[in-house]
Amino acid sequence: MFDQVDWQQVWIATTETFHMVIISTIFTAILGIPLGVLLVITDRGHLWENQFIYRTVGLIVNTFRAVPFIVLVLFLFPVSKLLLGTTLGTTAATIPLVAGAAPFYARLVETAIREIDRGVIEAAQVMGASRRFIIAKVLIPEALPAIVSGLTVTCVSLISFSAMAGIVGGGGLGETAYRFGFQSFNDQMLYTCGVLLILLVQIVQGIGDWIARKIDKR
Amino acid sequence: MIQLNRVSKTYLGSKHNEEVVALRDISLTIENGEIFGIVGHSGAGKSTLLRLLNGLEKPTTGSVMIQQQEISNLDNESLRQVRQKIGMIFQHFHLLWSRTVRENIAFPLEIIGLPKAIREQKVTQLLKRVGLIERADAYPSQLSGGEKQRVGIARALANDPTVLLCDEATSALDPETTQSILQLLREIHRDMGITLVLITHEMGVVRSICDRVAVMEAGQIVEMGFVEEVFSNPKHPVTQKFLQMEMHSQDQLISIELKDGFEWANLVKLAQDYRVSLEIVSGRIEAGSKRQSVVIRFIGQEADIEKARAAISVPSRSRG
Repeated sequence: MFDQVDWQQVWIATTETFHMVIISTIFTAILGIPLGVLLVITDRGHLWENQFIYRTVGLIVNTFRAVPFIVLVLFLFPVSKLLLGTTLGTTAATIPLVAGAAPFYARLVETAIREIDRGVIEAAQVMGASRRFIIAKVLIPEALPAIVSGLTVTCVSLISFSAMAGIVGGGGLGETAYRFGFQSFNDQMLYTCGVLLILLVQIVQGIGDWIARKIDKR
Repeated sequence: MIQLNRVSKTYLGSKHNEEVVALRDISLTIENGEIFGIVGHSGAGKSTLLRLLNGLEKPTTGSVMIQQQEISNLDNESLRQVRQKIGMIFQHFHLLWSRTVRENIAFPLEIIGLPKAIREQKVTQLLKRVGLIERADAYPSQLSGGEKQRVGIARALANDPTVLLCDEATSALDPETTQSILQLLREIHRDMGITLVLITHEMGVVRSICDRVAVMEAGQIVEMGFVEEVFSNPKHPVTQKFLQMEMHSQDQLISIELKDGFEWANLVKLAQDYRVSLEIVSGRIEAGSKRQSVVIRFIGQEADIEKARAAISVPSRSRG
C-alpha cells in the first residue's frame, strides 16, 4: 500500500524539517528568554524599571505576533538576503521561523517569570543579591519548568510553521506533502508526510513534558 | 544599634494629590543584642517600619541608622553590602522551590561569592544549628511549615548577620510549631548575641520572647516600653485591646454549673486557695437561685491556673 511513496524523498524532507525546527528552536530560545526576562524586569516597580525599554520591547513583540506567519515570511526576504545572501533553502527559512516564534515564546517566558512570588525575589534582594544574580539564580531557575513547557509549545508551533516555510523554498515534510503529494495526485505521499509530522509533534511534546516534570520540584 | 530619627513615610495614592501616610514621625532606638517586638494591626505601619531597616523602603523624611551608618541614602552597591549583614525571615518563608534545603541555605553564601568547599561546611553547621541535617536534600515542597521556617532562619543566619528581622515569622504556624520556632530564635539570640526585631500581631509571641515592645496604630508608636511593664500596665486603648484579645484566644474560659454544694462562694474560696483571681466572662449570680451557670476565667500564674482548673473538674465530675 506504500508502493507510491518515494522513501528517499521522504527521508530528505524529514532531515530538512529537523534542520529547520532544531535551528529555529535554538535561536527562538536564545532570543525569547532574554526578551521575556526584559518584559518582566523593566515593568513598573520591578527589578530594573524602565518604561522606554518595556514599551519598545512590548511593541516589537506585538508587531511580530500580529503579522500572519505566511506574510512574515515574505516581509523577511530582504533580511534573509542580507544575512545569508539567499532567500531559498532550509537555513534561509529559519529566519522567518525565529522571527515568528521568538516573540510568541518571549510572552510565554514573561508569564512564567511573573508567576514567581514577589516575596521570593524580595528575599533575594534583602540578602544583598545583585540584579544579574537574581535573574540568573532566582528568576530563570524558579520559572524553568514553565520555561521548558513554553519551549515545547513553541517547538510544536515551529513544526507546523516549518511546513509553511517549506513552501517558499525551505523544503521539509510540508513542502513534500504539497508538491510530491497534493500537486502530484499522490495521496500516499501526502498522508505519509502528514503522519510523520504528527509523530514528530507527539515525540517533541512527550520529551518536553518529561523534562518539565523532571525539573518541577513544586 | 538601630536608630530611627523622626522617620515619616508617605506614599502617593492611586488618585492624584492624595497622600497615604504609612509612618508618622517615628523615633526609636533598638540596642545591640535586644529582642524588640513591634505589634499592630495590619495597616498600622509595622511592615513598612521593618522594611525601612534593610532599605526595602526609603523614608520620606528622617533618618535610619544601623550601626552608626545612615542607610536611607546609600547607593545600590553599599546597600547590598549592608543587607548581607541583616538577616530576614518571612511569614511565608520565601524559599526557592527549585533548590533543596541545602542549596537554599547556600544561596546567601553564593551571593557573597564564597568558595564551594567553605560554603558546604558552613551550610552543614547551619543545618545542625536548626536541626534539619536529615532533611538536607529535601525540597521545600516536601517540608512542613515549621521546617520551612527553620530553613528560612538558617538562610538568614548564613552570613553571620548582626540583626535578624522577623516579618510575622510565626503567623502561618500552629501554636506548637510557633513555640518551637520561638525557642530556636531564643537559642540563636543567646548564642550569637544577635539583635532581633520582630513584627507580629500576636501578643503571645511578644510575651514569650521580647525584651521591649512598641505598639503601633495608624503609623505611629502609641506605646513603648519593657514587656513586663507594658503587659502589666497597658496605657493605650490599642494595647489594652491587644492584650484582651490574647487572653480570649488562650482557651482559658471555663464553663461552670453552680449547684447545691458548689456555689459561687465555693468558687471564690477555691480561687483564693490556688492564688488565682477570678473573672466572670458571662452569666450572672442571683441570690436565692440555686441552679445557674457562669463562664469564668482564672488569671494568674500558669501552674496555679492549671491546679485550679483541675480542682474544679473533680467535684463537678463526681456529681455528674
